[in-house]
Amino acid sequence: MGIQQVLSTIRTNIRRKIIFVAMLRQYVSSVGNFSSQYGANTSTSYVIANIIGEPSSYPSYGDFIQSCVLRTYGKWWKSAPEALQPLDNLSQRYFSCDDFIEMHFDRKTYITGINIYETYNPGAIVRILAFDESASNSSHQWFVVWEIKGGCPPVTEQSARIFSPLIKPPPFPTRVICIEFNSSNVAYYTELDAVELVGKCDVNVDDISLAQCIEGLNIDSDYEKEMLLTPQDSSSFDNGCFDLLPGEVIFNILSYLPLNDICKLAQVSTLFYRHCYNPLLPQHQHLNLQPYWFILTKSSLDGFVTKCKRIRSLRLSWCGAHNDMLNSQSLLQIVQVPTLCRLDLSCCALTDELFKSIIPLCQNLTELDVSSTLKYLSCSSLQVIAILSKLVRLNLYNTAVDTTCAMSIVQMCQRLQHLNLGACFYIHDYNQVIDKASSNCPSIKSLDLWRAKSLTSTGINYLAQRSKHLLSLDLGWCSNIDSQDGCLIELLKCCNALKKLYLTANRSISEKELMAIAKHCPDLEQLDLLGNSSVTLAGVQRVLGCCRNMVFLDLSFCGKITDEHIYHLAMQHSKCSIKNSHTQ
Amino acid sequence: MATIAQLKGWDSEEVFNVDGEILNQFSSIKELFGNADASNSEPLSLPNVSAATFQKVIEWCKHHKDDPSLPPLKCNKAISEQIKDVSDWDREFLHVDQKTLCELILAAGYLGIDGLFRLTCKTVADMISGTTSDENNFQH
Repeated sequence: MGIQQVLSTIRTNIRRKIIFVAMLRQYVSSVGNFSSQYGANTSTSYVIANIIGEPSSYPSYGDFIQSCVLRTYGKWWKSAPEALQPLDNLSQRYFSCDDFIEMHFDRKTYITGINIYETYNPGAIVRILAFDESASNSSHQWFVVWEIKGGCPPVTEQSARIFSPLIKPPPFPTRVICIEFNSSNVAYYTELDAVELVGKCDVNVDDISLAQCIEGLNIDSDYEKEMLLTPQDSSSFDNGCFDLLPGEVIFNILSYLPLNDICKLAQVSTLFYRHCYNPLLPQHQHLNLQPYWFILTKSSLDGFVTKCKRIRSLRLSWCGAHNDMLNSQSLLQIVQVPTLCRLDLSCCALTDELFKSIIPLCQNLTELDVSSTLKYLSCSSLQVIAILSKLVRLNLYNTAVDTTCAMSIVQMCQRLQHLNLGACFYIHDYNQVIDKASSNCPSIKSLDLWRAKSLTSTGINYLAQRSKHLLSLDLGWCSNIDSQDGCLIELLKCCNALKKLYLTANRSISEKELMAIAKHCPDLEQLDLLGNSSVTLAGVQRVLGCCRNMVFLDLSFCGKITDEHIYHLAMQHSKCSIKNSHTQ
Repeated sequence: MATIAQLKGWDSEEVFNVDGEILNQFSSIKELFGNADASNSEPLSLPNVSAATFQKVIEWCKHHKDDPSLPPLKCNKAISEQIKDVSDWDREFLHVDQKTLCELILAAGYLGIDGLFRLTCKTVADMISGTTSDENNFQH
């Protein structure tokens, strides 16, 4: 019997069985990994866990604290002074996800539909994957059920919706879904209420036999693939026009290809093999494995050891959560390359042990991102970062660093220019850390202290006195900064170069601070005043009049600013995007 | 505009009169010619470019004569950043068989026409990308 016949028989059998099977609708029961969240870890407002359960706000549209909200949105993050240069724009063309949330459901089903309740600024979802717990081959664990290539079109409609993309049903029962987001086109934070999974449950089906059938499918396709990929007889292989092209032209052509195409092309012929293993290819100098997080396996890294002998940056963000792909000798070999200066490990499932063996190998690192690794890396292993004395950029957002650890890192990494200590739940005394950072790192340019609860005017005063080169300062939700004693005014006086200032939800901001902004910070481009109830129209107008380069201003929940005010401000300052969010 | 250079392909006696606007885009050979009217001098034969290909090259250069000059290619920098999306005209222009495309790449490389070189290389890359859209496989 031919493969095709086997397949069709199996398919018919599956179909026949499923006809009698009941449909099951279920909501999220728990949340797995996720890349970021707006709310604090200890809170229940605006946290990812709010996705759990039935919809609570739908069909209302608006900004609700019981929604699931990601940390960022829009394009402003990417133009802020601390924004990372993209590793390569090439993979951005093929992969545009900024965030992900992994959701768990109670029962495994053969899913046929997904209903996503988007209750505020819909349109950020770009890809949905389903997880196969029983997959024998770890590169087949994840299955893309839906995706939109090249980013999502902006949604202008201001109403709640149930987003039900036409999905490609996975051939296995699943209870784990991963949704990926690109929020750069949405006008404000995108908020989700609930996710409903519709599927055929397994009541009448012998689950195991069905799973075996499906596995059979995979084995067949693997076999076929292997047949295709057997290396060709090198001497006689005709490369067509490529035989006419000089090496540098082929190099140039290859440099336009996404990484996965290079990997496949290497199998075509000796000629391509040689070119595809060139360590000078930009894709190998800047190795970005994040777009492929869901298909990487333990052996995936092996091929890159020879390809990446000249590696300069390595991105492993989101990788490794579902298999042991990172636990390989090859990773250690790759990071040992002395040219490596950037390492992105955001949400990367490294073990403490592995992290502690990797970091000492890459002494030349100037940029390190370990954000959102709270689940994986302990404070004692993060301590090892202190040996990276050349670090210029360090992202510790939502990690397990505590006060002592953060202090020892800033003590040793004196070249730091960009430091993100946002939402570090275990830093109990941010003032001490800021004291140390401001005195040890004279060239600090950007500081993200989002949700630094323990930061007070003492810390702000250190910054005012010592960190005069600050370009970007995020003090969002630092609720214990009381500006009544003039600490923020002093800071604005001293840090004239500020381009980005987030004062989100600082209730103590008054007209005086706005006057100081207008007077001292003419270069300001981004200002977040969300929830500052004493801010008035006159003050805002003054700021916009003086800060001519302002492109982003958030005036949401500013009690004294009405919708009409916003309307007029927006008319007068068309270059600036003025945000006004509210609960409807 | 006055003819500055007279050029011909290696395979034909057909002479192409090239004006300054076009010649300026041939960064590797433009230095060979002064600014004077060269209509009376001996035509120069291009050893690596056929007449048919050269005809295409000139057509492309005419269409793109007002393009801003491109930043130099840096191999460590994102290349896609340096090339905009392929225009409809270019796509139509490059709707040719593989051999012609290959000759265009070689001609663009030889004559130093940066824009055409990048465009043709990207076109080939897109063709490769299109044909290997099978399963992702990272094993070597």
